[in-house]
Amino acid sequence: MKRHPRTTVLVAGCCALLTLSACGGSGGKNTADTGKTKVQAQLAAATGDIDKLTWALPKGEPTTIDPVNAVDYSSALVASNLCDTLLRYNPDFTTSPGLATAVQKDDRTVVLTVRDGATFWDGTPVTAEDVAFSLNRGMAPTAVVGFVFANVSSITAAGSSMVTVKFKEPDELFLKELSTVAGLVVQESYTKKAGKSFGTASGGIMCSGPLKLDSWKPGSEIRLTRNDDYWDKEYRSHAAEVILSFVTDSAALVQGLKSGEIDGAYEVPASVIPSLQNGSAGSVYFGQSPQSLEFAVATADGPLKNTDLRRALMIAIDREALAEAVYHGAAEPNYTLLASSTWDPDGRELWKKASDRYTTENAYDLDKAKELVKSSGYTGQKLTLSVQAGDDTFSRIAQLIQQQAEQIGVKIAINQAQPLEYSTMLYDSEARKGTDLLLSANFNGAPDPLEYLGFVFTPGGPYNWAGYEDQKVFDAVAEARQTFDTAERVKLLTDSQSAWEKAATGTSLVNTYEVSYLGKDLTGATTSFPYLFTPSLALIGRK
Amino acid sequence: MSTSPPRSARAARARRRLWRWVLGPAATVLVASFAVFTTLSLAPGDPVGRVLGARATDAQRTALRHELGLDEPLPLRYVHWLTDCLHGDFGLSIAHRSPVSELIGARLGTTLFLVGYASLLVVIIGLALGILGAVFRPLGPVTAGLSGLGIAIPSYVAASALVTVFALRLEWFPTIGAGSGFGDRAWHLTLPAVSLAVGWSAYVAQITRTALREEQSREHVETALGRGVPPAVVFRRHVLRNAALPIITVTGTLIAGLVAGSVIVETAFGIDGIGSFLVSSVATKDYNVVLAISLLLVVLFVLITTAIDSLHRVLDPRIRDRRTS
Repeated sequence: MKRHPRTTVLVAGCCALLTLSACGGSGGKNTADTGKTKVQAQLAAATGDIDKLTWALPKGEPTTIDPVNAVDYSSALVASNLCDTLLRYNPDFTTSPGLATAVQKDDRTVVLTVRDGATFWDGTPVTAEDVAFSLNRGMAPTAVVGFVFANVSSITAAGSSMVTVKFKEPDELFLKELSTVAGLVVQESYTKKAGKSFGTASGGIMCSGPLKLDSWKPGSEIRLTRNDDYWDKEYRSHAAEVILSFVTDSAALVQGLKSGEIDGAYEVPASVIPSLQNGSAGSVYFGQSPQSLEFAVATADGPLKNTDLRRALMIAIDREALAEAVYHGAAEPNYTLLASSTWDPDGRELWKKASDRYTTENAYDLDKAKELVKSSGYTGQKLTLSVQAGDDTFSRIAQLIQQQAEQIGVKIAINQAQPLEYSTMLYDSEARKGTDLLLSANFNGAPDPLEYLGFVFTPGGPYNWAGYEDQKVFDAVAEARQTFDTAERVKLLTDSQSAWEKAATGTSLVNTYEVSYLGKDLTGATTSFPYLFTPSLALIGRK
Repeated sequence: MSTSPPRSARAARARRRLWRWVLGPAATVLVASFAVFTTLSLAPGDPVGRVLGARATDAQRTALRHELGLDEPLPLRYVHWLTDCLHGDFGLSIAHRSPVSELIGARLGTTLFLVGYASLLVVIIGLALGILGAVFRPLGPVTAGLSGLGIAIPSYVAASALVTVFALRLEWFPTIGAGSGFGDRAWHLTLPAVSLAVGWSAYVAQITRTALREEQSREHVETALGRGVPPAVVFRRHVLRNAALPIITVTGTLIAGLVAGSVIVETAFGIDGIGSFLVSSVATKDYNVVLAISLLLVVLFVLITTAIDSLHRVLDPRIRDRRTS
């Protein structure tokens, strides 16, 4: 790996300034060690069954497991282990037939054929009506997955196994999204009977996945049991019983994993990687993930209206050092707005060819940054960087950014916003008043950059915080969504990329890896991000 | 001479009782709930946005706000909440979209067990240490030192030390979770209860020792001893009984303190009890949950205060006489 000579200086500086425990003493050793941790998508298949798997949910107790609202980590993981998606999201980010096969008949019609022999836990077959019903729920005004269905005009069941989806406008993203929670299928009769309590601890759920919901004790745990009649032998659960625990405190999580009381976890916080790597009860794994650390301009006003000043900030941050010092190797530096991990798998080569230039253009360069600050006419106003309070990793990154901006003469004040205040900032410009910069963890569901670009480069897009306006870019993004040919679509987007990169409204500083932990006697886990939308817990078994 | 007090005095007494047992506590609960309701609404942040995420449209947020009744004016929402409460309905949680009573009920048992267990430890250890320090004078400095140390150790430090030694090294106890069934639960909650009890038992020990010492040096105690009354009898009748007042007061407040302290301990041991639920619900402005838990705590405090008050009256005839005359 190419290293800047400055990297070492930065790591040392971080040790002096930031918490001693995280960086001191063994810090150097740990970063060297994690360099060896390989990035993999899937562990070797399990050879035997286990009685019980105890798993810590990524973000504590899910708020709901109703698929149409299951968009956060815990909710999605539980729902995806209980219910089947129409298309399977594979560990290598490709998609393949799942509960159904899908055909794009023409640019405004998708036809789904439901698999023969798939049954719900109660033994009744999964029908086209159930599928149409499930998808139609996603179109309800309060369904969080609503954005997936924005271009859909109708979803109807035809016969016992066919479902036809009609579109107002062509939408290439739709099929890929069916491999995420938007494509999860629930039973119509049960859902209707449960009414408002559907997907909650009291109402439960009825699905066709490899694990059945046994009990959900609020505040305590969720128990799942194996579905012996599952249609897909490959995903038959190795564990007879899965116990999902709700640990949210990172110290408690480490204790549980190290003592072996918890067998494993996904979304392990970067700050605890070194202490878990020191233990002998299990191992830490890294996998590719379309998640990234985003550093963005939060307002259309103020000193950051100036493009030079924006660019200066973006190239004044040593992304390599950040990946090592804060993420302990569980991230790779990134130099464009779009994290490379969000590229469509079949367009990866094309994306890479077009993006390589930005690795040089947006590289860490203090001298160039200083010049840009000078030419920007910046007169020393303090810029406010808002981050979510209470997150170790984020507060360390914010401090690093503050230090690096200082080196080019830009003053940054850190605003630690309470979680709710922070989450409001992400969509409400009123709440962003007084904030110049935002630091956020971005998360792309489907294997397609359009999911993210659609939120930034559309008029009034929720992530278009800097108020960016370039009709050509907006048109290219809109056109790409209607273009089914991957090469053409990628060309449309990469052609307009130079415009948005020049505008420097934001950048992805690092692609963060999926970090998981698994007890030493276990294997089989999907260690890349698609774990979140597949019955990943079913695959885990004895070595 | 009539033995019963005049009619007007009886009515006055009834009024006082009504105020003390019913109206006072009710007013406290009402004022507290209103204060919680309005302060929560003043905090920045939109609870609906947290549920729907940044990708939702404004139309989606408006629809959910309406579904949850969050689009009504604040006073009206409070009135609705209050009316529903009187019917035993504590509403739905915004984050969990489930009845608040179910969510709290499931967690309440854990916290009560934890606080009960810790209180028991505090009372036993605190009283034992305090009495030892007061009765056996040479032990005084030792117990005083222990108390000082105990008070100085914050519960999260105690938690982490206990886990390192008894859970990770010796593997005697589990590190996380609350367990199920009485035995398993007691086993799971031992380390949390001990970490919670450390500071408070030290505090109770110190108060007990000081109170006993003070009573021991009183004139009537020395007189009794001089008269040849056995020391054990003097200790029980004169010292312990009089010293009980401050000890009981402190024990009452300690239960309140334990409930507050349980927040930290529950988090450290990954126990989802009322404390950690309150904290996460405040962070997400989950109104109905915060109100219900606050209400529960206020009622608990009112009950404790009333209980302490009654015990005082039993133990100290002077208070009883003064108040009933």
